[in-house]
Amino acid sequence: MSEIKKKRREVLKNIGRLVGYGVLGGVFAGFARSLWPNVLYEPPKRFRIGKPEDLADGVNFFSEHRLYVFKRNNEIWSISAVCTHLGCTVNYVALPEPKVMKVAGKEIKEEWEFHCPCHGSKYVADGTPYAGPAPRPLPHYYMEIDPATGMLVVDTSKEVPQDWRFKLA
Amino acid sequence: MEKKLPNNGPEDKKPTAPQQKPAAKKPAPKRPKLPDVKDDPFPMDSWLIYLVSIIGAFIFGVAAYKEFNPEYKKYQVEFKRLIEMKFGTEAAEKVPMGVQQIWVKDLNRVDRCITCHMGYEWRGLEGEDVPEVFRTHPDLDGLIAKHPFKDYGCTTCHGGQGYATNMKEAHVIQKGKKVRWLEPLLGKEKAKEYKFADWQKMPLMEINCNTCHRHEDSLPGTPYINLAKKLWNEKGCIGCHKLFGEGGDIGPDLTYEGSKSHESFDIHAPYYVIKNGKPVPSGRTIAQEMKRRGLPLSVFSWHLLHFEEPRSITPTSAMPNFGLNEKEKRALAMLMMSWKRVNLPAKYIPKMEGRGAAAPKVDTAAADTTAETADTAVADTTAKMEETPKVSYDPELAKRGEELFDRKGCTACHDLDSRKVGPPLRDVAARRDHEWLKHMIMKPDSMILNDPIAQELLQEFSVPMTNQNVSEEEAKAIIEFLKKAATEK
Ligand code: FES
Repeated sequence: MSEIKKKRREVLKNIGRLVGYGVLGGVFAGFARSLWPNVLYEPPKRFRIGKPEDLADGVNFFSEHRLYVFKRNNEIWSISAVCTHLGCTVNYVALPEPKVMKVAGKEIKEEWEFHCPCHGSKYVADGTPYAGPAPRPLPHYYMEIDPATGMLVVDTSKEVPQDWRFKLA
Repeated sequence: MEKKLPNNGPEDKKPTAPQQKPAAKKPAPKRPKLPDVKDDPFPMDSWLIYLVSIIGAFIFGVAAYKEFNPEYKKYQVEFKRLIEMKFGTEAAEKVPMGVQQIWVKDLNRVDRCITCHMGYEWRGLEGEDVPEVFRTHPDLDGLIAKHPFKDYGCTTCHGGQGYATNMKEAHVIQKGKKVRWLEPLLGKEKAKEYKFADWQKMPLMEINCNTCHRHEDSLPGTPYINLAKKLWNEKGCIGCHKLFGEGGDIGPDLTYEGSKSHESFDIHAPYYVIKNGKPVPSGRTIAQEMKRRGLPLSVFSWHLLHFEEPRSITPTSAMPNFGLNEKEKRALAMLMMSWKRVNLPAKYIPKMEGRGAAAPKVDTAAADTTAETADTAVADTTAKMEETPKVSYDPELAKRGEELFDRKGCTACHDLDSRKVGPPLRDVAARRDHEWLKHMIMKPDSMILNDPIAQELLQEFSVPMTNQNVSEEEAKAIIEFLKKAATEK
């Protein structure tokens, strides 16, 4: 067999291999992709809670979304009301007078707390648990203004640090 | 076959296989001499393998391209550009990408229309300069405030296939093809197909309005349906047709006419024309007649022809020709299509305004009873009762009714004088008529689905009354007992 024929055969073989692996890889990629669906049948992770100026100063509760939204000095932030223990809705408890607490090494002066009615978990104002079985702090969620409607949108798929604030212009 | 494939490799036995049988008797035919494979660097099978893999790779490439470039992407890119132009880059960055949907659990709807119609609630895109697909939904503060997107989705009113993510399937465009979607998009195209003069207003959508609002006498924004309801009363249709168990027996029950499947309309039956007052076969089938008039082959067209002349469809029909004009025919056909069987969660049942408001002024005594029974909607009947408090009853039957009232477990939820799970029943016999009571006692489940008063009561008491298997005669006895109770106070 001539050298040139041999070479040609090699080239074609390689092309064949490439195509074969390419298709195989594609099939696997497709399979892997199918594990992340485009959409789900579940309540949306992003939802609107109304115009920021319509929020009351202090605490606002959205029972439909189980969410506390606070507004203070042009700052807005939201805390989940779902107890991190077994998922009861925690109560907002206004303290008769502000108290200073030492939680996780920090000193916090707080005016309210969250108490879970189910198994007695208690959280300080920033969501850190200090009593009961709750293992984790209550998550804070990202918020932004929806350009379509000018309303405040909460995105529960994005957690933010406890001191994150949405600033009103 | 060997002649055709001189390059066959020695392994390729298939072409010789059919000759194996005769070979059992005759001596095996001599194989033609095959060229030596070793000398042929590209035998036929390798060519085939290359060809198949190349075609496979091509198909794969097309599939991958389609996956990454779906039809909606083009709209989303364009929408982003529009927003950038109108509201700046910052707003444009927040335009979501990928499949968007409104999921309405209670109505079992998943509407992905907003994947392309992205401007549906974006204020400031109302103008004519915005392409129609991106325009803001009209009447956001009126109609949509009452029917929020998140509770109704899109297809509840518009029809169409909510799951689809490309235009052809979502809009259910027919264009000559035989596609029978149960829920076509009731937009301008459909209205044009049926030659509505006012197709711009998307009149067919009224069908879906009336599916929920069927018990209202009239509803703003639905001129066709309102006209049809007026005709229904004027022409006395109820004389022959039953609705929710009420009405004549001569014609078919029309309660859920809109839910009849298209298979139950035989459009290939002969079409008749009326000659000298008698129906004679026209030589065409109903379908051919529809085609002749340029109507789509559909249930809606069937209704149009039927309202024009019932005997042209069913020559023995007893239904008179009402001499309806074009608009009236369409209106009635829409009314028929709207009477669908739907299972609405309580919060979707329209509040019937006007019912309580139309009640005449009641004096304080009557108002008290009304408050007690916590049923403002019937204030008018209560007032009437005050004038005619005499309710006669059969004492024998009433006694039996009292027993039944206990035995059937009515007392679990109802007391005569105080509100328990259900309303107090002391003067119910004076408040409601006999028929209503009978239905409510015998089949409360269907009353809740169909009767506006029962629905209002359900909204108020939130626990639906259960069917206790009461026979008609037992129901009569219980009603007698209730009548008796009404007289003793
Ligand atoms: S669920 Fe809150 S403490 Fe258990």
